[in-house]
Amino acid sequence: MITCEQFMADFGDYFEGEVAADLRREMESHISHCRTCQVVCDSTSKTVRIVTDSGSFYLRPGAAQPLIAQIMARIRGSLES
Amino acid sequence: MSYLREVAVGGAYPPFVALQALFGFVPNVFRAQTLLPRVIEAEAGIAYALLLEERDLSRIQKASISLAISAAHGDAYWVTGYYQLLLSMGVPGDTLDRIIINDHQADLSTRDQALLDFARKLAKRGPWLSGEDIAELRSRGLSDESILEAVIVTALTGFFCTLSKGLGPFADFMLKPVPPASTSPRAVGGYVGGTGGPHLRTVELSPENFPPFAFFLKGFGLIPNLFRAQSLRPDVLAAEADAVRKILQHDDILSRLQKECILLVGSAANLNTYCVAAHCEALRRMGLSADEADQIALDHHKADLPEADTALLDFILKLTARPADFGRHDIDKVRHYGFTDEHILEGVVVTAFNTFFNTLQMGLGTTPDFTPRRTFGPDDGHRLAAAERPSEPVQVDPDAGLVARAQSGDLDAFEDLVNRHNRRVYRALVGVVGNFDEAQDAMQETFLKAFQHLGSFQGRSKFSTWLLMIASNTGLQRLRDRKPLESLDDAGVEPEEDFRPRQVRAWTENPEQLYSAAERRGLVERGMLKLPAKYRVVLVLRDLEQLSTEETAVALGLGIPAIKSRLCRARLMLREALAPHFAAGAERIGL
Repeated sequence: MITCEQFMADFGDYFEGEVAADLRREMESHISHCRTCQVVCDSTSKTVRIVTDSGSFYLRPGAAQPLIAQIMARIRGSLES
Repeated sequence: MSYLREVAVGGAYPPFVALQALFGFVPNVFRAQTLLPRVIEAEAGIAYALLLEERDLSRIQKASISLAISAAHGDAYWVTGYYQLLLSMGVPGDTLDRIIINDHQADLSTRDQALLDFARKLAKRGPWLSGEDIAELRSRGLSDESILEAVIVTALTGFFCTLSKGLGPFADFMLKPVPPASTSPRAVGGYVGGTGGPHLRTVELSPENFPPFAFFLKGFGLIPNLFRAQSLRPDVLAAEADAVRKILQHDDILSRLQKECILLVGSAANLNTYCVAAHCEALRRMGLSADEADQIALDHHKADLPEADTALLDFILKLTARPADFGRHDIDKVRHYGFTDEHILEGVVVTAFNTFFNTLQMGLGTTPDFTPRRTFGPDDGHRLAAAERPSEPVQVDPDAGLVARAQSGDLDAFEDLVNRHNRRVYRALVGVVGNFDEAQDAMQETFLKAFQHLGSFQGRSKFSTWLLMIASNTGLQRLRDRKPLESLDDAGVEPEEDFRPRQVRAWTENPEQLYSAAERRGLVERGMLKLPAKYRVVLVLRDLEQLSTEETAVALGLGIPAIKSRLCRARLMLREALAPHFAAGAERIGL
């Protein structure tokens, strides 16, 4: 039976589906007994879902256009000079 | 974790018991479908009827066909599964290795070798399969019952390979390396088109005393030739009828109209004249005109469909035609159109079921039930090139044309590239510098540098990745100027065991429902801005921009282990920040 520390050490690969079958079975067995690691696994999955769907750091179209205009003006200016 | 959410099922869930009996384990590709138990029941039902008993082909022969087809599809997940299954049956690893690479020295009988050659041709060049191929098998002493079984096993393997590509299940074992899938030669001669049969003997079954035929008659108004041609296996027909009921006839997730469109577009990509005619007819009965149905088959972008449905059809077309390029980012793309995990799962399963029927039909050579308005022929080679399974391994950079024009001095082309990539560059820069205003300045600087160095871009990576590399270097330099202690370039792999979760209260089942979209975005942005830059930028590129680990590594100039380690740490740290807002029973915290 693996410990919580061992579970967390391999958690990243486990979460990405990149651990070997034997280890995965051990980790699943650990989760089935360990409420804490179960919560970490479930809430990390929900975290990724929330982040992915959040549209964070979105540059609004209204903000993008003046920036693009400035970029192109600077490029055209550099070519003329 | 597969691409989609999973739920727990009871310990003695009957389909899992059946799959355990078939494979010796429950493949994770089925666990990845627990959101819709009815589809697992449908798949396990066909597999159980076809694979468990030794009737016409032995279990080893059937599993060998599946191994060869999985390898032809370049599907490491299933190659590994069937390899383990065959090892457990006592087949030597050397023989299996040779089957994987299609080496004719695999120590097989001439009959078994002929079976594998036939199955490979059916899976990869179905429209070229003819009565001569069937005659060849008969000349090797194979009965029509055996040939039918080989056709159905080949079709079922295609079904399962499409599922694994679409769902991204956990590996059941350490994955076996699989050689790149070979592409089909662009043969022109010998084209048959899948309607040169029927190839196999049939027996009379009547809807009066064979319920599956009564079911087809009621549902379709006739008994399709595709099912009549399998009358030598009434047990499999019964399982197929059950699968049609459980996969196609429910409309609680995707509508039946959406499913018919999926079947039509997938069949057209596979050049299946029979199935295209059948699904055009089904759409006509749902109220579409024949011209509208034709347009969906020909190019669904020009059909009058809602934007979300067009995106869904793009998704299934890629899964059908270019499965090797399919990945988590495709799943996330359709999520943005409002499709839930249940919708996406059903879309993948319907696509896989379509692969099954298209392959079956090509193997059986049945004539169409309805007069086809369009017959696919060798002149449709351009469509076959798109639909070739497995797909071409070389990724084409979608920016290549614009980049070439920009490199030759076309400023409008460069402006198009700026328009196309400014949001991605901006996000990456917020990830590095952690400040919105500074990210805007750095974005200008990034594009100016990209323009100055455009001549040195040689296409070794995608243009977008090259651009992100410039962006991360630009942001990093600003970070160094501002905060010498915080940097991205200490490339060591952080041991994750150092990180101990502190927030361990369970989260509510649907955390998204607690806050509006704008509130969630605010929570995520505030949480991410508190992360150290080296973690934040990896999270931005992987989970917001949906770059692969490899692309992220190239863009940041770091090794893959460092990216993996930082991504895990970043997710755990952000989880800590979000937990007080999403834990079950937590009050809404003022935002």
